[in-house]
Amino acid sequence: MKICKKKRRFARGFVCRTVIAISEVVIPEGEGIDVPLDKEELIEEVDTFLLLVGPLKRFFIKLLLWFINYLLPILFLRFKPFSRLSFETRYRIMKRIHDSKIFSIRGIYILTSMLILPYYYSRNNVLNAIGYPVNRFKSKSEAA
Amino acid sequence: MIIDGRKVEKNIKIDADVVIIGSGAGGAPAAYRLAKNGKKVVVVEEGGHFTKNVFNGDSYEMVKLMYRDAGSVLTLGNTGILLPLGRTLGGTTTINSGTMFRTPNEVIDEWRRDYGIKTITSDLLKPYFEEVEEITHTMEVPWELMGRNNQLFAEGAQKLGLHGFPLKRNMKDCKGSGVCPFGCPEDAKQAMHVTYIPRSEQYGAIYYTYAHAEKIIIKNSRAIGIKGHFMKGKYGVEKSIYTFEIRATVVIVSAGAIYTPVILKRNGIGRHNNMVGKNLRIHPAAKVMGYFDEELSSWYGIPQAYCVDEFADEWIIFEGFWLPPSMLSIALPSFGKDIKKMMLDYNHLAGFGIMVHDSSSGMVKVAGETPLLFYNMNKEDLEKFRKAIRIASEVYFAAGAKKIYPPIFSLESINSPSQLSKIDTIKLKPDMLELSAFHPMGTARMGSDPKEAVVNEELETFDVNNLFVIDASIFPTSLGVNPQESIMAFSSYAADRIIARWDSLSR
Repeated sequence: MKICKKKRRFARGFVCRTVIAISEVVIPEGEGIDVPLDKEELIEEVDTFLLLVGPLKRFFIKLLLWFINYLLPILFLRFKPFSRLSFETRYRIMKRIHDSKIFSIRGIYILTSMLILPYYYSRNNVLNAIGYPVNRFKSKSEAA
Repeated sequence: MIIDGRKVEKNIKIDADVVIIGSGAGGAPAAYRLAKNGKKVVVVEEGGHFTKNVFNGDSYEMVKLMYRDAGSVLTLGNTGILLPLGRTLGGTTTINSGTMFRTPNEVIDEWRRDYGIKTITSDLLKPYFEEVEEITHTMEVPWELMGRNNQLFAEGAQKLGLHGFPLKRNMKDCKGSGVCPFGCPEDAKQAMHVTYIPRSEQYGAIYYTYAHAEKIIIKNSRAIGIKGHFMKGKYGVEKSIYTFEIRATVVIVSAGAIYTPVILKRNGIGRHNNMVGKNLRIHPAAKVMGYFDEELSSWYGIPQAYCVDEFADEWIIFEGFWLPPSMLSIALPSFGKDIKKMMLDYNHLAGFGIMVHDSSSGMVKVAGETPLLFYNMNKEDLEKFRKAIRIASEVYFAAGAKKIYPPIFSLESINSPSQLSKIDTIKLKPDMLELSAFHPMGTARMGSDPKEAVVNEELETFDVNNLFVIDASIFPTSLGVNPQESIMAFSSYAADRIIARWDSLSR
């Protein structure tokens, strides 16, 4: 993926590929709010997030993404990295994780969605689609 | 004077009377009182200095700037609980909802009865509460400033005959911007950065932002200063090469109930009874959301403005809450395209919070510089949540909700009052609840017995002389209400005790 070849501190390689693969199923295109996800901007934000959380959490998040990309598909009898699976297969896997009765499995979805959903639902065009007033205080911010 | 630590380009050595770690509800009132009394006060704050000039209502950006770990602090245990913490000048007061409660008398009685705390009484604290309320312009929220989510809940509660009241908040000229937890765009919320901090500056207090305290210097069992380093970068989360050393007669740790134990433990304080970091209470919270036919525009008005306390004697209270889309998106009981569909209904959703005075407890462990939080919810608290979720759902149905989204995994929605019995019958486990917490407390608790407590009733540590802890970590139990006013009052009280003992402390 071209986006993942760009030099960044943390969100590169499998981290970048896995986040993009998850984001495509967590925020499927077209349904409901018809605003596409800007994947390049998402990865920049994930890079910032990984900086902000500090080294220990960063390690665990990267470990979790590694697990999702390389080991999780095997548990579902798929022998390719998560980021190379078809959309339908990824959607099924993530949905089953989301619906799992076991909290530690469900936690995989919760933690990864924290990387993606707040970013998407803070973009102006998405907020406009929802009807949430955008930039109510922006003039003040620009003055600063 | 407020100095941006990212711009410091040399190692700094300062002599002061008092050095304080943390500028929130614990640190700032003490800084003001001590500076007013003529003490040279230096405060180090790990976060940055932000005001209404920066607060633009963009929750996503503000979380990156002012929330520790970008808002991703979690507890581990029999359930996972999101516990957002502030990392900014003014601490969590800058990013909270502004709700003010005095410490309930029942709680103070409990401390006397169960923890042997004799000097702290309601009468002793009364003048401190009065002063705090005056300085922070504490007032009742007028009906017209309430967010619609609050008005609906109030209407529902009144129909069911449940007692409630408008909350008191620290506010002045509030316009109901609706984004209190992300910095008030008008600085109408009277957080520390607009009240105690400027007042203390007038008396010469110096604040270093982006300054991370690491070491408490101890000599002959007496704290004599602190050492640390400045931070660098846009967000101030990377270590700068420049350090600070501040020598002082008195050292105060006010880093909050999660980071105070980190500092104490890393400096070997509290080893005598191993109590530092234990007894973590978080005052867990959950939200119930309702779908209404009317357009609510819940983004206008104060999100946390009304309280239902009908069940306060069972330690359950209900307080308003509302979140912008970016934060709400991770709290919805949906997946993929269903989240998008629910978000299209955003303008029809109202939410109200439940808070439980927890008898469950946890602990803070330390891995390097990172706190690891462990917390297990017990059955008693779990059942309180079951009851509270049922009540909040009834209230919203009474207010006209067409559908309820309870915070219970596997119970996605309740479509009519007749389905409410599902809440009573579901086999509930802690990890089925969607929880968050905003009031960590108790990890360096106050008490009369050095075997059981970390600090005495003057908030000085039993282990090290001249070392004080002033923040929510000193509370022996959960308060059952929002703690910021209690922390401010205790801060003023402890500062008075330091002033009264100054001669002996400086000997």
